[in-house]
This record gives sequence, C-alpha cells and structure tokens, in this order.
Amino acid sequence: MIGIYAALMISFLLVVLLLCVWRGKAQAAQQLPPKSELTPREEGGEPEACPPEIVSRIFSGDDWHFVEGVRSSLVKKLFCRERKAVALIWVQETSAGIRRVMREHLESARRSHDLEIASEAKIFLQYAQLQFACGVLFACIELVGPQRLRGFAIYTDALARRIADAQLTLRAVSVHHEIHGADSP
Amino acid sequence: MGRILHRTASSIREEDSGRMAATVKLVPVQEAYEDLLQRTLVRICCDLGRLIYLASTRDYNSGAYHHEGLAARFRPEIARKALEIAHRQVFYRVSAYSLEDLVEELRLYSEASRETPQEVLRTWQKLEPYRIAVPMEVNPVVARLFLSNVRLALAILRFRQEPVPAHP
Repeated sequence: MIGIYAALMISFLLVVLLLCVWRGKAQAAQQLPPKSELTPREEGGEPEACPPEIVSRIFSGDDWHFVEGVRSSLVKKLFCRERKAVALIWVQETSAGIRRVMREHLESARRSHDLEIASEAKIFLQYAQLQFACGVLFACIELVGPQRLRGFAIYTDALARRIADAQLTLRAVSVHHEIHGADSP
Repeated sequence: MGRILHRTASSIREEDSGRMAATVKLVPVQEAYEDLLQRTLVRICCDLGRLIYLASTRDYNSGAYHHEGLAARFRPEIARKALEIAHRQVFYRVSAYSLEDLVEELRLYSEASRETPQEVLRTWQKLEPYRIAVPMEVNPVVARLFLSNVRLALAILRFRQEPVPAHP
C-alpha cells in the first residue's frame, strides 16, 4: 500500500517537474532577446565558451545582496527579471552547445573502426546527465531564482566542459589515426 | 622663405621615411598592445571608459579597428589586432565585475564626462549606446550579462539621484 502511495507521489512530483520545465521554457522564450539582439555568430564557426567566472557571476548571491541594500522595489524587480533571463540563456546555450558536441561525436563515431563500447556508454551517460541537469536548472531558475543555484550551475558547467574536452581528445585521436592510416602503405 | 620651404620639405621626407621604416618593421602585436596600454588606455579613468573608447575605434560598417597613432608607429594590421585584443580583454573584465563595482565604474565614467552625470545617465538609458561596446564574436551569454548589468547599474544610479521625499 505504501509502495503505491510512494509511486503515486513520485509520479506526481515528476509531472510537476515536467510542467515546470515546460513553463520555464515557454517563459524563457518570451524573456530571451531576439537572435538579432545577441552577438552575431559566424555560421559554422566554433562558438566561444562562456568563462567559468561568468557562470559564477550569473548565479552569485553577492549582486542580490547589493540590490537588496539599494531599497528600491523597482530595482529589485528589474534585477530578478534580468538575472533570470541571463541564467536561462546560459542554460539554453549550454544545452545547445553540448547537443552540438554530441552530434559531432556521433559523426566521428560512425566513421570510427575501433569503437570502445564502454567509453561510448560513459559519454552517453554524461550527456544524459547533463541534459537532465539543464532541465532541472531551467525549472529551478523559474521556481527559486538563479542565486540559490550557484553550486548546481558550477557543477553543470564543469560537466559540460568535461564532455567537450573528451570529444576534443577523441577528435585529436581520430585525426592522428587518419594521418597514420594514410601514411601506412 | 625658400629655406623654410626646403626645411619643411626635408622634415616631411624624414617623417615619411620614419613612417615607412615603422611600417616595414615587423613588430609583434604584444608590443603594440603594450604601447596602447601605456600611452592611451592608462589615461582613461576607468575600465568602462576604456571599453567605450576601444569600441569607438571600431568602424561601424566594417567592424575593423583603427587608431591613427598606433597604425603610424606599428603596421595598421598589427594596430588593428592590438586594439581588438584590448577591446575583448576589457570587455570580459567589465562583464565579470560585480554589480556594485559596475555601479562605481558607471559613476566614475559619468563624472568624467563633459556633460553632467544626470545627463549622461539619462542619455544612456534612452539611447543605450553601451550596446556598441560589445566586441564581435563574443559568447552571447557574456554579451547578455554585460548589457543586463549596465541596464541595472543605470537604474541603481538613477534611483540614487532621485531626491529623497521629505517627511511631514
């Protein structure tokens, strides 16, 4: 009996979480500036990564404490709106960036002749973990604001960097193999 | 009169040959960058001022940087590269500032202007000239954080300038 209640409770929480993610994405779409407002990016060019200190700044509580000291409800409202929008853009960019990395990884994995199932599974698990973390961050930014999520955001950023670095290493190895393969008679 | 003309022509020739030598000489970008820091940027009161200055050396249409003095001392391509690097560095530095530090930067910048601080802040809120301070090809999240923080810093400074209502 307790098992049924627990399952129902977990299902309910999952539905709430999914609703929050969906709501967060819908609101973020409204809050995000149009593409033209953001810095133009070269088509096909390697996008520049967001430095860790900037991630830390976006989710930092220091700015919120400073704004609280200003004692203006208008400034507080503006801060909450602006910082939430920036945090949501970061989550969106991180998620998109890692999708790009995985697409590239799949391309090179298809061409590869010596696939290691264990390392492929590890990369896929990290990817799934990261996408889940992005989804949770999206929902939580809406619910509690970015200032309480600094630790989680730094963890997500580190995970994204690890996946990107792993892909870079794999790419370097495959280029090395291609060169040596071409050299051999 | 003829002697003056002769002297002027020779001094121009000397200047030209000096400029040619500077153009021909291959100087690393680092040297041009150091020169820019020591001669120009050090004279500007704050990082926000440096950022606006560096953005103003960029052509709106081509996106290419140009600085007459630097291009004369080094090659124009080297000057361009040094300006671009300096612009990106100052931009990332200002973007990572805490809101409190950015408010202080904006205060210094508005006070160093020829206009009154009130006028500068009013114009910045209306025209948003700081948008052109974003370098090309920077991470969109950093660009968005910068714009957002300047908007907030402006709101905070304008709020501080408002007269405190008198208590009855």
